[in-house]
Amino acid sequence: MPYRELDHTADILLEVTGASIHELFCEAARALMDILYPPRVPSSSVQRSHIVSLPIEVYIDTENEELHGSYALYELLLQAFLSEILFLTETEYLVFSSFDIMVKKSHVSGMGHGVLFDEMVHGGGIGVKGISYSDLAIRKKNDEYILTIIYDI
Amino acid sequence: MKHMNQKKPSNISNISNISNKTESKEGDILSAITNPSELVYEIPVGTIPGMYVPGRFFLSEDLSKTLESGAVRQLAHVATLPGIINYSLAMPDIHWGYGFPIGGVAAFSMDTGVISPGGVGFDINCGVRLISTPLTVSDLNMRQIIDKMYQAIPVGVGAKSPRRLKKDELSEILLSGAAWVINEGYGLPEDGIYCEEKGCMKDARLEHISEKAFARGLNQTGTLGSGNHFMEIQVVSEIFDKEAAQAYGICEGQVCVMIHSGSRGLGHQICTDHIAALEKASKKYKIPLVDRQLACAPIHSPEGEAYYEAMAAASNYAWANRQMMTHLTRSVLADLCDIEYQEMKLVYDVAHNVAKREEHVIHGEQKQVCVHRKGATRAFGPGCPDIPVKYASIGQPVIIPGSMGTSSFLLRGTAYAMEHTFGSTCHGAGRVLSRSQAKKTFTGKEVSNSLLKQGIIVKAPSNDAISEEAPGVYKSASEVVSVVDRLNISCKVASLQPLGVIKG
Repeated sequence: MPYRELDHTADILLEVTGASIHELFCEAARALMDILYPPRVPSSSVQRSHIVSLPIEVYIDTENEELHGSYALYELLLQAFLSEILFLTETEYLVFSSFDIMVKKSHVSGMGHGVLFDEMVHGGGIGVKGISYSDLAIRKKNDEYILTIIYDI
Repeated sequence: MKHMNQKKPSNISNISNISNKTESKEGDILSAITNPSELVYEIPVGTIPGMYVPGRFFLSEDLSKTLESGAVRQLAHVATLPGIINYSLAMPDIHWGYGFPIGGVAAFSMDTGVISPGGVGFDINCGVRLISTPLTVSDLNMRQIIDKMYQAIPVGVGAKSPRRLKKDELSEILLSGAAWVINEGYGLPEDGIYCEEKGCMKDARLEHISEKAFARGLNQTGTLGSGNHFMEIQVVSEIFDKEAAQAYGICEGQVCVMIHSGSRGLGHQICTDHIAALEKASKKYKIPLVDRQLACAPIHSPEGEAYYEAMAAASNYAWANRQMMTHLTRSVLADLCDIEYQEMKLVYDVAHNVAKREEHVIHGEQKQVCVHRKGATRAFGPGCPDIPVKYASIGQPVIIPGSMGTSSFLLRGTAYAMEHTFGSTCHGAGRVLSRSQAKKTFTGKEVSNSLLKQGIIVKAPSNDAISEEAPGVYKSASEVVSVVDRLNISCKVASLQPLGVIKG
């Protein structure tokens, strides 16, 4: 399972795993979608003609950034990426199901794909207010990247 | 002072039932807790490096059983912020959040202090309002009312406002708050008076609000949101303070409506935008951060002012949002219950996630300070100029929601709170179970059926939304309220029993 929920009293604390940083970003975004729009219909059953795609571009300014840890820059970039996904899903009413993105040092670019929000299909989830910096950490264990992250709900 | 029978400080590290929900490194922080007087707990300066002041929090023995080490750690973190005055405080509903603990209160010097979005939260001016009605329980067809309300008020993820705003209209809301909505016909002329800050923080400016925040705000005015946000039909079940209840227009058996919501996506975006900016500012001003979510800047720095002005605008949006839902609520009740719209009075509207510039007595001198309340409610006492004239001799109403199966409370602010907690008190029951634990423990259907047996009708977009907010996931609101009442940082006026609940 690419992510699991850990105990956090007020918000949602997730542990996400991925074979690469790229996969970690995609899984964290998919986890975000699962919280917002609990999966009821397998994404494979959605007709291709209904798929909508949106460009995703996220930059972070790394100048003067003091990095505390091997993956600190990726942590900042991930926070910015997920905040962008949150913005796009809320303003474009797009329920993302997949991402074709490139993750570079301070830049994420690519496309997100999904379907338009339908209350009957996607309703009943929990609104995520923001992506917290608190306890945000990426580490590598054996061949796997592991992320812990709090989604404020 | 009801409680301050001083006793020798004792170490409470041997209270084994304090919940150590975070990593083992947190064990030490619990052993630092002392208990200088009844209901009062402290962590001294030095508990973690860099603390300027002690941490102080308030608990009963019962509530101490659910104290999490993560929350205490966050209380200590706040004490490391420059310019903090007296204590890093937390109310009896303290629990583990991000940045500040939930229930956290801290005041900062205007000269040497900082402002931090971590002391406000993503949901800027999340708050509660209480509306009184001339109805009694026998006047209600609760199923019909809840169904109609559910149709009228957009709830849950993806819900859209009944009125999509133009950008210039949204700008007006951001600058004038509840007043714009009232002037558009969605309220009574006096509604604004009965909101904290009269429903508008005057320092709001548009310059530091991003296009993204505007985009999120256009379509969400008058929407409830999700999670712990709710609209509830309640009945006043007990009066504790007749004089105050009379001043607030409340009597036993009366039906009231409580609305809990915030600044929606617009406020969330403003927080996101400014945390990023303030993270850089923290480095610029050489403020060491123990938690990046506590990103901050000196209050009068350009970055600090920018956040404050944008946060004030988001607060105004929240008041407008709750005002719009009040209008929808009144319209439904007027339509179904044969009462007039204007018979439903706004008792008060309180913010519980906000930073404000307020006057307080600091070391014997009246000073302006910046008070952060994150999951804490203003509780100004009698005679404060910032509360409605009608309530001047009583103190401001304080509204504390319970869970959907337990009572909410109406309290009044006190002079004692002004002296000891920067005019602050608790904000709710406080969770004890995570949402994942809640779903494992309860099913939505079980919770709905159990509440129905108690005469409470619940409607929500999903069963998960109900199970995650089951009464069993919260501390006892009556215990939390009992602590603040015993401490005299706010005093019980009335309890309100839920009859019908709409969860987002």
